[in-house]
Amino acid sequence: MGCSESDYDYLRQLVLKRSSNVIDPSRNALFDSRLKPVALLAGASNLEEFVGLLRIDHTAHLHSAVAEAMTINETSFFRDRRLFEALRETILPRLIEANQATRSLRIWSAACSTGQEAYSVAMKICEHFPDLAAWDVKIVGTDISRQVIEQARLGRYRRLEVNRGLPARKLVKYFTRDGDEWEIAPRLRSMCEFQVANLCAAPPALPVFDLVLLRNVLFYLPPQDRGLVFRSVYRQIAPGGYLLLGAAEQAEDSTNQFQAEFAQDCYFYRPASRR
Amino acid sequence: MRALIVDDSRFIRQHLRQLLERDGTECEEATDGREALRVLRRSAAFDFMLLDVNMPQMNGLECVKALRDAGLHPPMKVMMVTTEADNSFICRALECGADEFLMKPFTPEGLSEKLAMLGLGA
Repeated sequence: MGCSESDYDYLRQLVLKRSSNVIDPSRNALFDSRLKPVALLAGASNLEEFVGLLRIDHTAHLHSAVAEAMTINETSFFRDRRLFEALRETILPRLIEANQATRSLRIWSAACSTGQEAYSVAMKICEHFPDLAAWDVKIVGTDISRQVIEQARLGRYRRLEVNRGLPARKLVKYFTRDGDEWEIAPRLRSMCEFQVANLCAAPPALPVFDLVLLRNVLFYLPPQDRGLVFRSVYRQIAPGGYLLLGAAEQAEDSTNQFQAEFAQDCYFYRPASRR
Repeated sequence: MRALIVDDSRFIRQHLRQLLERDGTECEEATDGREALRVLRRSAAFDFMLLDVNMPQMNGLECVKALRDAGLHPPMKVMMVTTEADNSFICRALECGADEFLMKPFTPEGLSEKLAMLGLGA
């Protein structure tokens, strides 16, 4: 496939406008690989022809399909072990103590992709906090891509996916093999729900969260949208809540609504001025 | 770190060696379970062993059980690296004394993450 520089720029602007996702020119080849199936479904024989269609057809579904195809969906189970250790040693124990009266816990896996992060948190809770089985615990995963949300809801993963980050003991305990896929245990699936949402747009109806995981998504967003995302998270987080970013990310450049704390070799953030 | 790579496939042994040596791990090789036990008996300590299952002479399950029963290199981590993937088989491997399980085919990232889980590498 391949197209002209001005066509790649057009695609770049379309994706940025639709999803705030920044595709650097050095990664133009990603358009070629990711948009081939979308182009073929639209009746175009190559990327150049497909861009021609996009330029004259402004129907939302075609432009949305492009934005969705370009979302970055890299994820794995228990990505960043230090973070999950911090959850086990510090954050979850503090939240459990704080929420004794309500016996409820709400966790948001923002930009959840195919659900591995949400199910990893569910496994951590089942493994180390069995008393929470009597609590009202809900993990909500949201992502802009409908396709990954549908896969997350299915809770079925291929060999290469369960081969990454998932200890063997957890694989046999929490998954059932069905052919060449592994399906998450029903009790973990029941702890999680998934919905389509754009972090940079008006959020759907979401609860107030005790814990928000917003990992490895901010660096794909332009600076002006990072502030918008933090404001959105601030509205949805409980006064005593916790925000976790990716290991290489920090909030200080984008917001003064969160303050950093450090424990278990891991940074996390608390909402400012409401405590 | 020192690793023992046990697989009857020369291609797999070479592939694993390349990935591990890239990170500075010193590697030795064996072509089946029996040879692996000979290497373990005569060698200085290994940090971990990557062990195939389906091999001639002695398969991976027999090997890991034998080395654990004999108390060879007790702190050494053993990771099965195999196409076998049934939950019941994984359970058997863990019961025999394996510490982790990596399915073939695997990615370099998958291998690194599994080693990290065992406290080996970054």
